[in-house]
Amino acid sequence: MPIVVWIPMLDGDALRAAGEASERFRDLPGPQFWDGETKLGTEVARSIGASGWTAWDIYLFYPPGAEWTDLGLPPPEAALAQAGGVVVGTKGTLPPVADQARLPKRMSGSADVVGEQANLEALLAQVAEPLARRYAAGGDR
Amino acid sequence: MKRVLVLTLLVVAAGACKSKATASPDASAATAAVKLSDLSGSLDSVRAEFNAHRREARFLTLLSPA
Repeated sequence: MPIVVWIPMLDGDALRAAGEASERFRDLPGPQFWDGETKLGTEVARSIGASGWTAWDIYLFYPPGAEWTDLGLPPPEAALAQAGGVVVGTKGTLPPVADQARLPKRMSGSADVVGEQANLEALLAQVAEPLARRYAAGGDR
Repeated sequence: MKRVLVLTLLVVAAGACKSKATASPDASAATAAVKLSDLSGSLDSVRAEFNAHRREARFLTLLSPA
């Protein structure tokens, strides 16, 4: 079940723009939210060990059984984000590239550089497709 | 261009988490406005939605609308 959240991080981002953007994804079977005060962005960052950051341009996968308790949003099974001009993944999401020099310091220890921003689509497919097969087969991890 | 990429990403990712849902809107959905729930008050609504589908895989993305 996809959950899409619009968050104001760039010039021009506003509720109205989010409303317009959300129309493009109306066919997706899931709810859409407006995180105008970046509360969820903060919580997502905390959940992946990057407290102090506001998470955005980020894609997170949670397995069946994952629950958001009073302790907060659980860490995802896999996550990719665009940060610092590269694509970073939480540990174990994808193999790290050799050069980790562009890994944002705030993510040191919790994520790896896994590829170039231009390859985001392919990298996301590398994460999503195996998970789709496993979940379709009834596996939860 | 970016919107096309994002849509492609969402479709790919949604495929991993589609469970019982369908990506084909019915006639009424095609004419209704997309409901955009505001999280400014609290995160309770997104938390409830996340937990309501606990038995399924879930995909969460945070995107800038610009």
